[in-house]
Amino acid sequence: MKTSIAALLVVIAVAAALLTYQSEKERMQEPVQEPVQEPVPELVVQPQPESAAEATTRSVKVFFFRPSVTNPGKVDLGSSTEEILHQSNPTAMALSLARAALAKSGALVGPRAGVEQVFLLEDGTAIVDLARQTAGQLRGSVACELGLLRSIARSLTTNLEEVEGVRFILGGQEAKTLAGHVSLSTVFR
Amino acid sequence: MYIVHMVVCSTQNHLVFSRGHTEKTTDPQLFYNLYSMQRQRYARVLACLMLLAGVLLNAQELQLVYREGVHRVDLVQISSHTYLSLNQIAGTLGLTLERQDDRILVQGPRATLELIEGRPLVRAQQEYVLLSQPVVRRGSRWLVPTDFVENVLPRILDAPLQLLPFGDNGGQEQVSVQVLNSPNRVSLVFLPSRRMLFHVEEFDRALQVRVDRRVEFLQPRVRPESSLVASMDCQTEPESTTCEIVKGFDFRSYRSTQAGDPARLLIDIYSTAMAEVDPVAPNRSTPEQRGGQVITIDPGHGGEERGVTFKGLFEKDLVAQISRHLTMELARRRLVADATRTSDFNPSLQRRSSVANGNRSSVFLSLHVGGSYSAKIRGPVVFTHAGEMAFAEKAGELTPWHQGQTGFAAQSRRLALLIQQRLNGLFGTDNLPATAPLEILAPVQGPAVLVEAGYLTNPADAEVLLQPDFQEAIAISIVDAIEEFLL
Repeated sequence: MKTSIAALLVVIAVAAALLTYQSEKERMQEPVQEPVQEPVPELVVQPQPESAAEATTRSVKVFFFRPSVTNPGKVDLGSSTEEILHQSNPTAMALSLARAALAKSGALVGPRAGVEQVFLLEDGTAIVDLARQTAGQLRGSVACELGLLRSIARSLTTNLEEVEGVRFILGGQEAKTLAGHVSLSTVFR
Repeated sequence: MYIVHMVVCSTQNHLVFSRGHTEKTTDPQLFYNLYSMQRQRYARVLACLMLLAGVLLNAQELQLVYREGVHRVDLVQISSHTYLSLNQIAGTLGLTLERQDDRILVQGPRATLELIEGRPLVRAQQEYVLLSQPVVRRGSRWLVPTDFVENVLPRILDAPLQLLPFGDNGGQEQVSVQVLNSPNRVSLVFLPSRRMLFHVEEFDRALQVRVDRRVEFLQPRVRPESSLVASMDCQTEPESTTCEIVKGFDFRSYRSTQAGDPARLLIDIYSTAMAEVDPVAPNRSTPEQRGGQVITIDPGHGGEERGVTFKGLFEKDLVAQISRHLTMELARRRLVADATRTSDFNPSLQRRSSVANGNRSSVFLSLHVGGSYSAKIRGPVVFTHAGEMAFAEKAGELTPWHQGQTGFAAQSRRLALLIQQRLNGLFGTDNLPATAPLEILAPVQGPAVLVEAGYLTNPADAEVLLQPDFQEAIAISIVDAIEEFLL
């Protein structure tokens, strides 16, 4: 009994579906006005360098990783005083500093490594966006990876009073590690 | 002229209006529009009728067997998924429900569960249980997938609970199979309608569950995790019934137990060495009593992630070779070893840490070799995690993922020092253990270290690291330190 009722229902369902399909098909043939898409505003703000006429330099302390022969696990940072272009915009200054620190650690990373962006948050955290290629360019293991990150962070926190801590992202996205060891969820100070 | 009247349509010019009046029109376009509108309305009414009848005919129930009482619970179909009413279950089993915004607490005799609307997770004491579907709320009614009854409810009840399909099975005995998927483990529960003896046998590619009589195996409602159980196939013969559980690619070990009240067979399938651990053995002491200790070895990198490279040598290959020596040495000393990878692939760091926690490891050791742009840097360095460990452990609280080392920092440092001393003796160095915020160690809830067994970029280290005898010596030194640590 149940089977025959079920079969009848299936027949009714098929008929209903066919009718609906045909009606909907006719309705769909009517032209539909596309909603107008508002342009999405660009969110990325590129730091602008000062004009050449106003350009002055500023002495900054740039940190770099110095491997220790006697204690290879220790992350020792050396520093040197460098002259970099002074910029009143702290974000632009932070970007210059981060690039200077990375350049100073040239022996650690290859030529394709780079800093793409720096973002300053209101709570004093600087987000440093490293180029994706930086990960594959690192020559070394745990100490070198940590040394590179700390040297960039220390260069920012020492020279910019707006920066209290530094976090790193890779290729514009959050990443677990730079080269498989050191946690990038860490805030470096 | 076109006539539209109330008789059931027999030609294209006749229509029925639900309000039962007749219209006449000479406009063919108007007639067509009316006709089209009515046809759509009919189609919808018919479809609704059919659905209603279908639901009534196919309305299903399940039976909950609890405290010698049999209770019927209704099944609710949402999309293609089957749900049960939590309100009905709570009323049937005498549980208390407490609503809090988007969550609901279910209080049972033994414990309390916490469910969140739209999420497939249930918090049961200190554990989260993953359901097959998210929890759904319809007004004041909360709906849960059927595996909630099988996998979650027993945690808060003080008597066994059985879920059986409702209906007559023609007198044939049945075995219902329930599945619980957890990280690194699949649990299969075979619940027979009558007490029977199960035989479990392991073959190369499958586990076989056999019953010496003709029974019907009911397919589980939840699919087992395919990396551990590739498929399940049950066959009935005149004198026996066998169920073949085909191993998935991540199958590592299994444990089976037959229990009573209610009679059931439990098979736990692991991607780790958990089943090789004797669950009742004490966690310390003499070599004969080491059944409860698992040492998880994590050979670093793998696959396309080669780690440190130097003159055609890859870190991933060297650490895989040393790990094999480590595993053999641990086995020789009656310690259970498990590895996060045994072939050339790169599991995520999260997965590696999960294996350590899944094993409840007595020691977790991530094995690497070091590298530096300076060829002078040499020797072993043992790292421990040094990150934020501000989480204060409280009874009943879950540990945040990145703070697993909270409470184990001192043990990890002691282990690191022991391994560092042994390896310094082997390499002839005076290196010190070090700390770093390490992604792989942070979540591990147990003593955990990352060992860099020499620098591949140092010519002297690279030369010895390639020698199998030296690799074995590294393994022996590390296991000596682990033994000393575990004493």
